[in-house]
Amino acid sequence: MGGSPDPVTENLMDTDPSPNPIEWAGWALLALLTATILALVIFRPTDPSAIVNEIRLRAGFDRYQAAMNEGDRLFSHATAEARLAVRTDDDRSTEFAMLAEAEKRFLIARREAEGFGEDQRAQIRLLDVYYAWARALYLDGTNEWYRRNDRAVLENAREVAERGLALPNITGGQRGRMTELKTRIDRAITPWPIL
Amino acid sequence: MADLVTTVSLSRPTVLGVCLLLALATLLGGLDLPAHGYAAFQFTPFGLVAGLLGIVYVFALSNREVIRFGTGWYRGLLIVYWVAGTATAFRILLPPPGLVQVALAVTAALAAAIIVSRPNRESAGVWLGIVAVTLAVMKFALVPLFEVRSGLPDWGPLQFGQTADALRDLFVAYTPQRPAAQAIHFGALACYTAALWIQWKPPSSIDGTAG
Repeated sequence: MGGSPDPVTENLMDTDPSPNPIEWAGWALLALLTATILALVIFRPTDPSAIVNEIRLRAGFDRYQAAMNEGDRLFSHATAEARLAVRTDDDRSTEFAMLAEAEKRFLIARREAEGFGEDQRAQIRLLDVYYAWARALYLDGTNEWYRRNDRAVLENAREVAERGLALPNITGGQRGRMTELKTRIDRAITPWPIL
Repeated sequence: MADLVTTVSLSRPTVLGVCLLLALATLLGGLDLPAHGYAAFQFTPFGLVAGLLGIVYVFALSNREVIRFGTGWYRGLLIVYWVAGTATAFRILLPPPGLVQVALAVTAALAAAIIVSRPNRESAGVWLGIVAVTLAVMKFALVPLFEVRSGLPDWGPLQFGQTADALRDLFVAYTPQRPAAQAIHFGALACYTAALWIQWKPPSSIDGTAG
């Protein structure tokens, strides 16, 4: 394997005919495949529609709608995951990661919103995310009657619920639902669940 | 004389074909289709362990002339693509992180010494296949079986299930994938095998003798 080629070898290598168009196309395809691999390694996309949305977000082309679409996609995956998941720590952490990503996208949408209508639409979606998040944390933090509730998780749930209630332009129904959940969370944060 | 024939027989279109197949193997082999979570797909390139195994195996296989590099600027190109393709093959075949992966990675590294010690390239090629099949059986047959059969139930306050999960992750942190992932990964290994095939030196090309 090692060593520089002798003169005879070099001569024979030089006698290769110049590349024809098909060979040029092959080299171009190789460059394209290599660039695709590098792009996948660097950007780590996880969904074809996510690729389109992220390109639109970074290129600054209709950022509001791109952020809303991506937030909707992540939120729908999170809710589907919550229904399907087996109750283990790993599965819940994936769900929470998706909800956190959805929150980021809807916050971008709020920043990019033009006018009250667009901003309210983003806030309504954002509250759905906070409600699902706080409810999942509430379910995680409450235990059977003979086991102590997880105070840290419940306080995290209350903090998420308060973030949702701080949104100024959500609907009355949404506010009532979130207030009721926050009351349940507050009641669960006790020294002992029986009290 | 053997070196001269080796160099000349690797023409530029052959180099191109090998590189294309290895790039395709790297692309397909890095794709994962997780069964859970929001990701429709994930591209996970080979890590340090698979990368080092790739380098070791490329050296061993080139030493036995199972793979050839030619000369000039093609040589560097081929080395890069062969290492990437071989490392990706190990990424596909090695089980997820854990003690099982440690044992198999060390065994695979030792098996490289067997390949180097083979008297001819056919035998070395067969040993490469044996290593691949052994790793595949461990990853795709034994690990999923272990995952299914190693659970324990939670009995009220006695959380045996969590203990069993933690102990299982020590051996192998299994992440289930959708069935199509196996087809994609098989495609990647097929591309790797095709790359080996198209640059395989005919037996008569070395001084007119076989092997």
